Amino acid sequence: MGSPPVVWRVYLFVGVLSGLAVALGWWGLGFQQLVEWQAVVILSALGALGTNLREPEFGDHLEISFTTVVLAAAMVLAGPGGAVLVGYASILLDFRRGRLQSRLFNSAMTACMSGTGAVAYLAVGGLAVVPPGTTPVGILVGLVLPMLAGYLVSIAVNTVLIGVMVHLNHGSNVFAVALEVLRSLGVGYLLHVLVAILLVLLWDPVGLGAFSAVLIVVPLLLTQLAISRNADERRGHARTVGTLMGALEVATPYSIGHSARVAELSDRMASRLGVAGEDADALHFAALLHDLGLVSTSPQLPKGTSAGDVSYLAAIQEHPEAGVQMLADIDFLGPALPGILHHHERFDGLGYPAGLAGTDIHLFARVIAVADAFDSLTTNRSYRAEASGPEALAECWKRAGTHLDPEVVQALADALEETPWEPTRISDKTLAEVTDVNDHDDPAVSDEYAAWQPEGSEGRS
Amino acid sequence: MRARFDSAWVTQGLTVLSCLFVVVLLALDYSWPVLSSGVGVWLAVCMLVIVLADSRPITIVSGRKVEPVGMTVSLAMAMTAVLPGGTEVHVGPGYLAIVGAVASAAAAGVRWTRYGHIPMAADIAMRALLIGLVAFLMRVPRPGGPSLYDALVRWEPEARWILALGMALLAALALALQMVLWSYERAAHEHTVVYHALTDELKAVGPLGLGVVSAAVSTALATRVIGPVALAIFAVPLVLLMIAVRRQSAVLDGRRQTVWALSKLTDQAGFTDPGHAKRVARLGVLVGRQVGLSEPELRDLEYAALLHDLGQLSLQRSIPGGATTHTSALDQRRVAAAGAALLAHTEEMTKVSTLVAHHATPYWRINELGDFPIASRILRVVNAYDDLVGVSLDSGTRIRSLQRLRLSMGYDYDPQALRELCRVLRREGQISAEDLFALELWPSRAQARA
Repeated sequence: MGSPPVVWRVYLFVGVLSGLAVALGWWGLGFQQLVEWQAVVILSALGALGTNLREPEFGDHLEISFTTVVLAAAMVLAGPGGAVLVGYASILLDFRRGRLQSRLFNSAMTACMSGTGAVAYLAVGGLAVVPPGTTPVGILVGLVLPMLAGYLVSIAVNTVLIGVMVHLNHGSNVFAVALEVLRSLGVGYLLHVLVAILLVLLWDPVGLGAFSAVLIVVPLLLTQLAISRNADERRGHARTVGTLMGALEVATPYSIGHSARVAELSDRMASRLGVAGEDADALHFAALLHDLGLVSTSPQLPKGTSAGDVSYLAAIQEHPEAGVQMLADIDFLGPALPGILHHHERFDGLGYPAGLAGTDIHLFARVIAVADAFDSLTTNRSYRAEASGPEALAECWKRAGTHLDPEVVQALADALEETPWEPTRISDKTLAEVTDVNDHDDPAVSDEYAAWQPEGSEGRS
Repeated sequence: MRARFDSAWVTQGLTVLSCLFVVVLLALDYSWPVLSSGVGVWLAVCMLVIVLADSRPITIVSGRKVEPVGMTVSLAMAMTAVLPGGTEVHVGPGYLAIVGAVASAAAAGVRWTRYGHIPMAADIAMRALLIGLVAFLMRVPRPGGPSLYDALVRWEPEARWILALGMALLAALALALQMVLWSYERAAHEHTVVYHALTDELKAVGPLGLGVVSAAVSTALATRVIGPVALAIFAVPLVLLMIAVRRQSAVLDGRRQTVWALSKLTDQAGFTDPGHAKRVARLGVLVGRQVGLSEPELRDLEYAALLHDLGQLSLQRSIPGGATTHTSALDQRRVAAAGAALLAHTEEMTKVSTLVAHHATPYWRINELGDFPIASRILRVVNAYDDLVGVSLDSGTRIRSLQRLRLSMGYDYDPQALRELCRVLRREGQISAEDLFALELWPSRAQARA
């Protein structure tokens, strides 16, 4: 019943780190002639408040972590010993649920980073107390620049400790991970120290004391609130668009659930193609709305024709443009429009509406084309049964290079390997009711179109 | 409460009053400011930042243009007492107000040439009024003690937070005054209830206002140690807040645009007469304001008006020419129910769904169903009116249509909604006062005029 040694190494590391933090704090408290207990208590409370308010997923880069600001300010206002205490309190007083191991590690790491930051601040000549009457230049040299240095040191400690932790868990290179973490923080992370400098300026050189926390914290709190509400609203809006689109599909029984499935498939491929953040949002909307034009054009589609009929092909080729026309006024969908307009282009340049080829076709459109074809193949029609996931994927591979983009098909293959796809079955009753309807997404229709090639469609690129 | 004065009165009155106020301030303290040892530089930087910030206003929810950074610097300018080295700011409130007004006017000029925004004297006057007011109150002795300004100059170590709190209250007072005046002006302009305009304004700009208050107080206090640099760096938290607020309003605008786009679906499919939904939405909102609906209710009414024919799309058998007043009541109800069912799928559209469902319900059933939303009764009346009038520009058609609705008033159509529709049409000059009386909607002419 021996536990794997990796766990012991991790606990040993967390233990050593905690020991270091406690030693640093002990030394710091002894070193300081005067511990500002008021500052320690208030900053600890604010740090803990920030941790409790943190929204786990924002999805945008405006994230301003309140706790980070408080910790940076604590380096100066609380001294090395106080900074260790504030670091511990900020993480340990998190009242949401979490794993004990990661909480112990996080609190020890935070205490170490703010403690060393405070030591670095003093080491490069930072003033413990700014004497009254100091000139603006004196404040720059004695407070602002040392704070910047202390903050950079604390970030370095932070990233290296994370690197060590990941190394112990997964055996990866410590510095590679640290660099990766550093890169993910971005330049915007320096905003935290800027705001912290404002807090310290008001607190000590101006001499306002604890009330300055109120002045600085209020806008930050409001910002955090606005961001988290914004995230909610964006999710809500995406949900609304999705459900409405789904509800509109009721008019054409073949397509019930199609938009949602294409959106899901596109989402799954997105991360594998390097589409992330706001781009991923745009792709999601494009996938949801790619057939919106069809909702308005389908009542006018000729009925009772075969998929190869010119009248049918001519009518169907208008729907991408109709969709884009309807959505053109919606600002946030701007980046999604190329994905909607070109989702029936073919990799060989024989698709519609523009006859683009290869990577001239927008990536979103190539992704939606693959998802579209795959979903059509895995859904049964009146004239054929549904294909299983692997069968449909094999068909997509067969079409890679002519109809579809091989790179995107590869992404689909990777996505399906992780989670297989369940084919969709439309009930026989529904099928019997709509026998004369073609499925415009069927890859066979795309081939008919490629073979037909209406006059003047060539060279329209 | 409705606005008693019209919006031109409010803006002109405000301009005149604030000019008078500045003159009074100058009369009280006319000593020429001493601009040596940094005071001149500080004032110049204040002006520069105000011009820069105000010439790039940000747009938030429903097209409001706000200038948080310019306002912050203006208020900070009014509240600053000491510069680095202990130099006192000896500039009277009247002069500060003039400096603010000049900067604000310069920014308005930049906006005129760059974006074509017409400069508004009232905007500039408002800024002068607020700066003058705050600077004046800073210098008035507090009950039982020195003025805030003098206390800041002395800066005793005890209870400094009370001074900061006092400054925050002054700044908040100024912003509240501005908010009340502008809401009143908007209520007068849009014929809506003042209270609704005020709550809507508070929701839209409240958070930014708090950000402005805290940034203004921080800037004014920090200027004593770091000088004019404070004007630039203490705006950083506010700018972050601005970015977050603007993103939030982008989502709200996105939702609105989505609904407008959806409203075009039935036009494109050839079910409805192009522009019908848009016209019903515009007129419906005007009538809703007249009835006294709140802003969220008006938004739901607008969305319901835009989407009331959406049901056509999900029906297997569509109704040619749309579900107009000319088709049978049964068909109207079928489309309304289908549209409501579509919208009911989504959490955000539940209220809109109810309105769409009920707009096909004739008024007399109110006894049977209990109450149903006034917004849906408005939608029913306005929709019927637009179906009858269509794109016709002929005033005879309008009168005949209203007469037809009048005949079914109390049976098919809600009397209050019809009356307010006629008032709105009268105000817009679409029907004459004589026509309005001839409809006999009110027992006496005096009531029709009210």
